[in-house]
Amino acid sequence: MNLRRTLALGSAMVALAAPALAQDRGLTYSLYGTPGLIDLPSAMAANDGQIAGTLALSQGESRTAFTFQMSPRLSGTFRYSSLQDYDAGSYYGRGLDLRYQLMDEDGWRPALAVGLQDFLQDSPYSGEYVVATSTIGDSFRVTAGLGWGRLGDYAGLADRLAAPSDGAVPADHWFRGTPALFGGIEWAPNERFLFKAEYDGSDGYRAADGTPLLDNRSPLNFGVTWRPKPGYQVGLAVLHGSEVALSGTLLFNPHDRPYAMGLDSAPVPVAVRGVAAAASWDRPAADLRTAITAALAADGFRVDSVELTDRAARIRYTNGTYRAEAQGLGRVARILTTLLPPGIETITLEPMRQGIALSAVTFRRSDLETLENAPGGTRAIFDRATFADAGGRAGLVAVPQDASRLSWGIAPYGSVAFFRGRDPISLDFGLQASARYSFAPNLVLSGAVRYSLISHDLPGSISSGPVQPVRRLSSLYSAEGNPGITNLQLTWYSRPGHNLYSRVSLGYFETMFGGVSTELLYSPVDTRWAIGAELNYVAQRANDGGLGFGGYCEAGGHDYCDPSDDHDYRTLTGHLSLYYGLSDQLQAQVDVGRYLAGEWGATVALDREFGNGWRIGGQVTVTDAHGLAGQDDYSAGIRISMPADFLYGTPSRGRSGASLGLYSGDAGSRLGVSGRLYDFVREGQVPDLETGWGRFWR
Amino acid sequence: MKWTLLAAAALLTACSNGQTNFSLSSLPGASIIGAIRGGDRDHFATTEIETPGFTAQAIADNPENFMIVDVPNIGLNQPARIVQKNGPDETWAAQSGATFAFHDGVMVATRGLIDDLLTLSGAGVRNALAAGGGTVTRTLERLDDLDRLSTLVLTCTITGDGPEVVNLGLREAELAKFTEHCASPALVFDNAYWLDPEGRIIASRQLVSPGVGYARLNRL
Repeated sequence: MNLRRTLALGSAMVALAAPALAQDRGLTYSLYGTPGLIDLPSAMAANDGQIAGTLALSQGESRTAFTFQMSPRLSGTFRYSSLQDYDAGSYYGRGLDLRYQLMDEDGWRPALAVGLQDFLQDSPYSGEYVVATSTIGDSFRVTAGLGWGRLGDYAGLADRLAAPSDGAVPADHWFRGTPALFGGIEWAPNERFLFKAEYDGSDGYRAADGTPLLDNRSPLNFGVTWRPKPGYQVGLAVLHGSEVALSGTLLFNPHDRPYAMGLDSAPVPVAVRGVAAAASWDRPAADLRTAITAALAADGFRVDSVELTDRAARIRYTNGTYRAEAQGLGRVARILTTLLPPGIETITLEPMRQGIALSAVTFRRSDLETLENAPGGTRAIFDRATFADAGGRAGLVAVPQDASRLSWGIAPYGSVAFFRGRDPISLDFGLQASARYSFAPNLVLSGAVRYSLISHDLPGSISSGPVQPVRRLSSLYSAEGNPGITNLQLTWYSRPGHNLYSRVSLGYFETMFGGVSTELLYSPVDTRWAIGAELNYVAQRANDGGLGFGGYCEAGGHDYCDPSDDHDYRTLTGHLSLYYGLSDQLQAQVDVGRYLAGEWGATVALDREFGNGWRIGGQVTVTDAHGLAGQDDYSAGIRISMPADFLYGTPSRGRSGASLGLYSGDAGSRLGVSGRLYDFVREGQVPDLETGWGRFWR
Repeated sequence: MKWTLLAAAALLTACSNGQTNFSLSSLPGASIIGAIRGGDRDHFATTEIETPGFTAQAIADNPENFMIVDVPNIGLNQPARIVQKNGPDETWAAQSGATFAFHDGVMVATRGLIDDLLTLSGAGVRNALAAGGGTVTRTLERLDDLDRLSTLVLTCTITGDGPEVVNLGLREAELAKFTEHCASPALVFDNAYWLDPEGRIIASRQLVSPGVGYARLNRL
């Protein structure tokens, strides 16, 4: 295999220079799920945005890792590991790595990287390293590094593990102890196979008492990685002369869109006045509204109301089809040019979500006519459009709504939960029935019922703690609440003022809590920031999946709560939130307030947002209940959201998402309520519109 | 890639709610497996817009309003009809709905072909053709994988290749062939134009995109 191979396109007539991102650098993943050798890291960085999921199995050990190349030089890895016979039982742990590539390869100059492994805590995997990697010719790559902790002498790691935790990130342990050398070589004889040999100078895994966990006959490891096709890697290795390890890695990158620009149908071309057979103003306004409604419905838009004057038209509509609101604007505008009388020069579009208007974007019709197929027309139409808060309802004529107020669905669901009760991993799948009834576009009753096909046993016991059990009883809800109402809520959205948005929700918001939730968002249409306030009064639901509150401690004739726990818990919880777009790809959020267990604290979240809809990020929460007995020192988690149009190619506003807690517990828990304002309000405002503006003429 | 993404979607969809676990995404479209649904959910139902037929009679009555579009890389071989005309600017729609926009016969945009030509400046090409050849700078815009505009500036050299008999589908005609060689650091392609004695582009082979390849366009 050519490690420096560049992508060649198949067309004999077309030569497209390969972008750097498309370069295949022969990168493979280690048993830790990071770019590297066999069990050791290298200094190579994956392509920007690369996501790798790795499952590695060896005797008595498994590692499941998720690595994200956050920027061209910085990567992060979340890993869930289990280690048998560690400490009078098995070790189950979650950890986070960070790696920064200080410099990339350049000629004979090697790449250089520094890494922190499972650095937020002291664990059997905690370690730090500095490593250099150089590619020699087309087929060889050499790596050498210096490691501490798990990658160093065991005595140093043992000192860390023996040190009492003071509740803080153990930065004073990093790069401490006696380091060890490591290194290795990779050889790629062809594109599919890559052979590796490495030297691991550390002295292997030890149990909590220092007893070796494996027969460390040799510091040398040997392995081979098979790459049957792009995006798939399978590894086989012999470790320390005594163990066999098997690994598999799946790769995908938000940059690699499988359907190019998408399978969207061609939009209606702009009708140029004076040439096309435009409608006459002799047409009654009611007929024109009907025609606009029908034409927009045919392209996936639901018209709410229309205002027509001699020179201007204003359309308020909901885009139910296209992920990028900018694409919806472009398609609606083009359709209108085919219908509006020639005298109308100004077209104002007001996209809506949840029955409320998000912004008002005004175009000159003559700009639409001249810029549709012009080079630079995409940027020019953005520059010439005006953006403002949506106007009032005065002048708008509501369009009769033909759509059914009721929608419903039955779909399978699946879930994976970590550390529920005493089970390190629990799987669940079943059927979910959901329904939604719209009393008005902005007043919606929605709910869902789940039936699990997996039988969940009650745990023998649940660890106690000084914090109200707002989350740790979740296994009781799984066991007792089947079938169960996951949510049933009435939600009312409104626009109480200029740049203001509001939500009031009433009902059962999630499996474990229900009550009243209110939210107010101040979000100017053209700024990268917004401020929100949320206030909720909630009670803890019964664990039987029904409509009752309280009674969540008892199951199977056993009381799982501590005597000091509140058995009929009600609380006031809420946050002040600041949302800020650091750039068109980085979104930050800070929440400060009172959490579910009644404690005070703050959450900081950062997301990388790709222009094609992918969002990958993480958050850290610290409250005054963290660090108490039984609670982690902080809560942290990662989250990922994939747009449906990326996967299927067809236009869709759908998303699939998951969040995964790295460190969590009762402390730092927030109410799970759907329909939070900022999540959808931002989609109709200038920063998000500008990000998706490339699709305006699509 | 598709299977990787499906596996990823399954993972992302595999969510539950509670302590230290995946949490359910309540966003629409979270289910990737077939579901039974009723009513109008977030993806609104669309209705077909009636389009004038591509009947043999319609084509025979006004052949100048039709062309044959052949994009072999994506299996598109259909008649197209003119749907919008504004001086030298025309938009044609294929029977399947894909559209092709031209400036004076030079293709400047496509829609509905997955990897579309967002825009490609066409000004100057006709003058070069009329002059028997020449060099033109053209600007091409595409959307990258993150929906950002990427712009290429191409240097295009047009040369005359002499007369050639061309099968236009309903007839054969002797037309003057011109080749246009366009190059930039990232993209190289060769278009071809066949002009009638009046200087009109009757047939052409023009690049849509690297993913879609060339479109062969024959006026009837």
